[in-house]
Formats: sequence, C-alpha cells, structure tokens
Amino acid sequence: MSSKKIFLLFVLITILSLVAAQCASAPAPTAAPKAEPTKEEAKKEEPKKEEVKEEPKKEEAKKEPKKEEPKAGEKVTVDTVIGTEPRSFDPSKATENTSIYFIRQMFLALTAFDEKANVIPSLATEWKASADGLKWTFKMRSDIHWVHRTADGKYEDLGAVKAQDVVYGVRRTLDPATASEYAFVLYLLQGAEEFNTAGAPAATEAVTNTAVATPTVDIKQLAENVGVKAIDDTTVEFTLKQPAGYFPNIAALWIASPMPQKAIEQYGEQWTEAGNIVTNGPYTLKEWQHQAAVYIEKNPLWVDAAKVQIDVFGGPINQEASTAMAMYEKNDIDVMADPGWGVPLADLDRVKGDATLSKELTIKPRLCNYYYGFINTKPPFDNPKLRKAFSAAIDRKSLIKNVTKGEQRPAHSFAPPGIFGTVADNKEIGAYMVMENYADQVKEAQKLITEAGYPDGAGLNVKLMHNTSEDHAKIAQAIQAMWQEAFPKAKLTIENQEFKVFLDTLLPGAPDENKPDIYRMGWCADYPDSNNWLNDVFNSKSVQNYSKFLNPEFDKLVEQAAFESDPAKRLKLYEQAEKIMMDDNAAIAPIYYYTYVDMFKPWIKAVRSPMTGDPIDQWTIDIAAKKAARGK
Amino acid sequence: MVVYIIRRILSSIPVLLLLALTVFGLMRAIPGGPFDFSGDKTMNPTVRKNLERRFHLDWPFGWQFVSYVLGDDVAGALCGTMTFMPGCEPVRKSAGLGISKGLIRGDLGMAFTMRGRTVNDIVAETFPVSLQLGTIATILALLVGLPAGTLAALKQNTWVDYVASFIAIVGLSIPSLVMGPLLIWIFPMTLNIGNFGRWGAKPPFILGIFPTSLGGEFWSYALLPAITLGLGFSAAIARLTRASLLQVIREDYIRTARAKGLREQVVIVRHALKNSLIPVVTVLAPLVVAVVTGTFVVERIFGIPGMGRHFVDSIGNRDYPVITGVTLIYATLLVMGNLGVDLVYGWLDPRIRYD
Repeated sequence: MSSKKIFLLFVLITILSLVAAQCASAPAPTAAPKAEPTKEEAKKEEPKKEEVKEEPKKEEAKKEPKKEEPKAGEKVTVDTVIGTEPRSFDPSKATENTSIYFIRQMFLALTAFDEKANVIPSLATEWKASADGLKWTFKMRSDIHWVHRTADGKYEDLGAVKAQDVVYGVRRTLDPATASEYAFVLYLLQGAEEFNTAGAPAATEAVTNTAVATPTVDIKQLAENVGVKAIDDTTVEFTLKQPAGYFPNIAALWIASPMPQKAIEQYGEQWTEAGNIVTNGPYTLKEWQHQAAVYIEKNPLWVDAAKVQIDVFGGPINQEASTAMAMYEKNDIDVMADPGWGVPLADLDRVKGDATLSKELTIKPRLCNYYYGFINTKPPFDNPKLRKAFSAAIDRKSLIKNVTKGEQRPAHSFAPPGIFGTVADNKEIGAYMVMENYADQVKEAQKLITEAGYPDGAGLNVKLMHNTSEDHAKIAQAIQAMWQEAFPKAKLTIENQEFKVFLDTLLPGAPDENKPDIYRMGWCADYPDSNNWLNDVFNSKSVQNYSKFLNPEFDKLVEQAAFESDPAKRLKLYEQAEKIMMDDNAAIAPIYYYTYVDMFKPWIKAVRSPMTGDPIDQWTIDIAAKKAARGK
Repeated sequence: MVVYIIRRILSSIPVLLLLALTVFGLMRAIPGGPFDFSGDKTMNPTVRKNLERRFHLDWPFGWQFVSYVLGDDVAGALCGTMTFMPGCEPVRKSAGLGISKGLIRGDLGMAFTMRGRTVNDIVAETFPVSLQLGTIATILALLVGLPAGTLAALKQNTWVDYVASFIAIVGLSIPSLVMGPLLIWIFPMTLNIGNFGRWGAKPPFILGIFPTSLGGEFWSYALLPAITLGLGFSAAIARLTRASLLQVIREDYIRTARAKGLREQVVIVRHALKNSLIPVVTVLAPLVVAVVTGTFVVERIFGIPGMGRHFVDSIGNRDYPVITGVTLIYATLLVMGNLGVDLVYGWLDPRIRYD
C-alpha cells in the first residue's frame, strides 16, 4: 500500500518535471531560445565587460579593490600562488618545500642561513662547542615571544620562547609517537636513535587485554636520555654521539625549532590550523583553507615588526605552472617563485625575448644537483673507465643552452657551489666533464672506451632509465644522441618508470638485474654542508646510495670530515673525497647544478635565500606601483 | 517499487565492498610503499618502520582490510578474543591507535601524505567544489546539447543539421587540455573578461554543498571551467539525441500520432523526444557522476580545489586511504546514478515495470 503511495508521489514529481521539461523544450523547432538562460547568466558579466573595453582603467580600478579589500583590509599584500597543498605546518612533520617555506616564516630556529647559505644567529645569539666537540651550547635571546592569532584576528602574547621549548621540540621530533619523517637527521644526538626507534608507545594503550605491556617508564626514560637539555631559560645544551663540525647547520633545521607545548597538547593534530597555531616568527598563519588557499600575516608583536613591510603573503593553491604564469601576466600575482612555481620551461624562450618580462626574470643558483648515476656493481659499468667515458661524452654546455635553458651551471662535482666543502670552483677535479672544447671531451671519451675494451662502443648494450616526465625525457634523448655520436657502435635505449616504482627499482638492496645501467637522479640540500651530500648519499652504508658506489677510502674521508670540527681540515677532506669519487671512480656523471628561474614584478624587492624559505620579512614592495599596474 | 529500490541498494553493498577490496589490494600491490621515500630521498628504514606502524601497515593484509571496514578497535577485539587467528601479533600491539573507525562507521581513514588529516576532511573540502562545477557544466551541457540534437534531427540534412553536427564533432574532439588554456587566453587574458586560478566560493558551504553567494564573483570564476567541461559533454548529448530521435521519428506510432492530427509540437516533444531519451539518459548518468566528482585536467588548469586531483595524485603518493576513499565515493554515486536511471526508464517508457 505504502509502496503505491510512494509510487504515486514519484509519478507526481516526474509529471511535474515533465511539464517543466516541456516548458523548456516547447519551442523545439526554434531551439535557439533554449540556450538563452545561459546567455542571461553570462549577461550578468557582459555589461561590465563592455565598460571594461571602453574604459578599462577606471573599471578595473573600481573592481579590484572591492575584491581584495574584504580579504586583506588595507594591508600590504604580496600575492602568489602556492604550488601544492602544504602537507603539514607542524615543524616536526614537514618534509616538502611548500610546508618548509611557510614554517620558516612562522617558526624561528636556533640558527638560520643567510643569502650565501652561511649559518647566522637567529633565536640563538652565539654558540660554542666543547673542546672534545661533543657538547654544543647555544645562548638564546629572550625577546622572542610566542604569539597566538585568534580566529577573529587578535594577537595574544604567550610569553618568551625559552630553552625548554627547544628541548620539547627536539624531543617531540624524536618521539616515535610523532612519527617524524626527518627524525633521523637528529640521530647524531646522544640517545636520539634509541628513543626514536623504541616500539610504538600506543601499544601500551591497546584496548585488548592481551596487549604486550611495553613499559611506559622506559619511553619516558628514553626521552630524558636524549642529548638536549635546558641549562637555564636561555641556554640550551646539546650532547652529540660523536663530534660534528656541521652541527650549527642542524640547529637551523625546522625539525629542531622550539615548539609550543601547550598549544600542541591542547589541540592535538589540529594545532597547526589557523586560529589554533602558536608561532614565534615574523609571520603567523592567517588563513589555511585546506587545498584552496594559504595566507600568512605579519606578527604585530614581533620584535622587529616596525621594520617588516609586507603584511600579508599568500594566495590560492594552484598545481599548474602555466596557469600561474598566466595569472602573473594578468597581474593577479606578484611572484613566480617558491612557494609557487618558477617560470615554466615552455614559456622561458618567450620571456627571454620579451622586453618587459625579461627584466623581471631572475636566475639564482639552487643547491641541487642533476646527475646520471651508474650502477657501479653491474657489468659492464663496474669498470670506472667506461663510466668516465660516458660521463665525458656529455656536452653539458650544449644541453643547458638548448634543452634546460635555465642558465644552469655545468657540473663536475657532486656538491654544488654554495655548499660548504664544494669543489665546484676547482676545475682540476672532474676536469674531463667540463673541458673548454667539447671535441676534446669526446676524444678523451673515445680513448677511455677503447681502453675499457669497447672501441666505438662496440658490444655495449646500455639502458638508461628516468622517472616519467617530459623534461627528463628531453634531457635523456639529448644525452642519448651525444653518446650515440661519440660511440656509434653502442646500442642505447631509454626507459622510464613511474616515480615510486623507479625509486623502488633503484634501491641499493634491490636486485641488480632489474636495474638499468644508468639512472637519472637529483639531490637537493637539507642543509648546506658537504656532509649532507657526500656522506649522506654516497657513503657505502647510506640508503641513498643507489649507485652502490663503494670505496673504503672515500667512506673513511667523509666520516672523518663529519667528526672534524676544524673547517679548514674539513674542506681538505671533502676535496679529497670528491676527487676519489669523480676522478678515480667516476661513480656518477653530474650534469648540472640547478637554478631557480623566477620572476618578480618590478614593484617587489625580494631578498632570496638559497635554502627553502625566503625571508619575506625583509622584502619590500612599492604598493602604489602595484595598485597602478592592477588598475591598468 | 520501494522493495525494488531497497533490493538494489542492498545488492550494491557487496559490490562496493568488493571494489574497496580491489582498490585496497591493487594499491598495495604497486611497487613502492607510501613511506619508502620522502620526496626523492629514501626514507631512513627505522623511521619508515615507525611510520608504517602508525598506519597499521605492519599488519597482515587481511587485518588491514578488517580495520578499514570495521575499525581497528574491532580488529583488536577480534584478535584479543580469538587467539587462534593468524597474524594477530602486530594487531594486538597497535590496535589501540584508533586511526580507523571503519567504513561501517563512516570513516574513510587517515590520509598518509597530509599529516593529521582524515580522508573525510579531504572529501568534505573538495567534493562540494567539484559538485558545484560539475552541476553547472551538466546544466550547460543539457541546455545546449538537447536542443541542438533535437534540431539537427528534425532538420536532418539541412544546413542546421550540418552546422550542429560540425560543432558537435569539434566539441567532442577538442580535449579540455586544449580548450581550457584557449579560453583562458581568449577571455581573461585578451578580452579581460572573467577570472581564473581559483574557485569563486569558499567554505563553509550551505548544507556542506552550496556556495553561500552566487554573485558575479562566483560566476566570473565558474563560467570558463564550466564551459570547458560542458562543451564536450554537450556535444556527446547532442549527437546521441540526434541519432536516437532520427530512429524514433520513423516509428509507426509517430505516424499514428500525426495521423490523429496532433500538433507537431506535441508529437515531437511528448511522443518522439521522450522516447528517444532512453539512450541519452543511460549515458548521462555515468557522465554526470564523472563530472561532479571532479575532473583532473579542468580543475588543474583553472586552479580549482576540487576532488579530481586526488584520483591521480594519491596514486603517485601511494596514499592508500585517499585513493580508496575517493574511488568508493565515485562508485557509490555511480551505483546511485544507475539506480536513478533505471527508475527514469519507467517514466520514459511505461512498458518498463519494476516488481
């Protein structure tokens, strides 16, 4: 019975919609009117547009402030896009550039990096190591305060940042319950690894009766044992497992910044949301519309707030670089740079040829290396001469000029310029990669390949692999052509795999027979010291050592350099290590050192950092010029 | 009828579960796990183990699925009471983490890549945006496609037909990858009409779905992507309507209707068009569902924070809960859409009955 009623209701509804449909489609023979509703919708816009055409200047000027002001008030705003949804604004958990860029605006660590990637004071004013290099003491300033921006935009001062907050932050990163991806960087602290690798503490809270009773006391004890402690409110002391001359670099990392214990305990996982977050830097989070937009706002209680001009920085999240470029050209955004997009390769030639745009282009070195690795254990590339021949036969200059186009610098070492211990300016190391004439390089390559037993590449069947990407494919094809010309009888093939599959194939523990002979890879600095390059990547014990390069002398040198405190001695050790890696073993073929290819509107004066996270608090903007341009 | 609907809904539950299991399993079968790498750097093995433990990835596959469907506390309880079950060791250890309440309680799990966010959050933020865009595009497509197809059929082999068919072919063959940038270049960039690069409405949405304001700002951001999305869509509808209507118009009962002396308008609209819509409606349901759950390309080009990206990005990130979650939502809507279509058949063609 009731089913019948519902059926009747349904029929009623359908009849109504039929009537509606008939009304809409009644004048079928002259269907044009049907499309009218859309036109009417469009018309709402049209009158404006016609005005725009007639008097574009006035209309835009009228329109723009209306749109912007409710969002930012009278505030000085730098508009950008954000390349991807930040994964986390929690300093313990952030791993990728976008998050780190914002964290550096909001959280002050003990030290920082200047424009040349040197370590400079930040929260700490001075630091020193004990004679044995194991104990590092940082003296902190006391005028940096925690602030909380409430949901209605008011600011609360939550007191000075203390040494205890640094201790809390470091312990929190290492806490297995935090599950920080970068925790291992702090393993050089005493007791850190033991704490971080202790079984999940949640096990003790398991609801089941049979839960294995992991002693909670133990975890607490392990946390206490970590080599970080507050001597007084403004002095923090770190105890290392072994001496590490590069430790001030580590103190600058986001994972070691002080963290607001109260807010974290109050809000749990939600503490990084706007309205909850407590920060201590020049900026704080104003708005985080997840997956849609991020805005940070100047912290008015900041010690140097009077010197900070930019009030608001941020914009919509936009995953497409070419769309960002169009927004830039339309004056919707002021920067084409981190945390958004650099200039897309496809637009680069046009930008360089354009009188206005070319002036806005800035190209800056970036602490990354693009290289081709050889699987050092897989014949025939277990032969250093063959590796060297392939490396020498790459015309890096022509590749940069014709393919990558970003004024990158040809590479002949692993650590790029700007990294402590780099040999990029010492042309004697890896000289065979960057000769004056490419013809000489080819001659050298042909000589080497003959010595290796493959004259003209006869009998070689080489597989090059890269992860799937149009840009990597272009580079691979160009290099394949160079090799083919230098070694006409070699058989060269290119393959590509999806990124994670590709990395999985290359893992040092994966079987060699599935691996290519040569693979594409890149490395970017976590901190600007060669330890993060030579030791972290190519030490034979490293999980990053995809090439399986093994040289005991190299291992010894980079480990010694890690423990050494004397900068001059460390430079020497890294020089020797690079020499072994490039000249004696040719473990990899470095191709170029990256650049940032960015654009800034002329009204922005940006101070840049080679590390992720420009100091926006030092930027200036000619706001009148921006408004004028937008009103155009 | 009601019985029929209930039966259809009940029978779709195993289908959805099977689908969840398939996606769940296939994702885990792809080489490379979610925490193997952080960026392009190999994750430190001890850190990786720690992370995997946090998300129950150290559990045997079966128990992971139990946790996904029923909740990890249920899995823990099962393991606690039935000690003979295999693979219970890790389950007992970390069942109390409470990271999954289970599908049965409406929890799609925790995302791996966006720390501290649940898949429910992600869907609640992005689905409304995709739904808004998809709905506008669908309305646009119907408003253009149906009349164009009808006209083309009625004026078969005249210039009207040729023009309509030509436009339909063009609309079908230009991919949104080309159409989107082209529209951006023509309208906002050259003519200074409209906007792009974000979406014109932001949360909170009314009822979690509708934008709070439908003013000029909203449309200035919505129209271009809707046109890009709706163009190919309308072309498909137009071609299908035309073909179907041409067939129906030659049927005997149309001749009968005309012989009875019915007005041409009534013959076409009530008798011919209604009947010819069956194939159109059949195709419409999956198309609409695909459009309202987000389209990767259009959303990306126009910088719209919709759900489309998660169908692609989460696979690259090996974010198992996200891809399983969005696929399930898509599938659920598809099941509902098909059910709706089946019900509409009964209205379009009264010979179809449900018992």
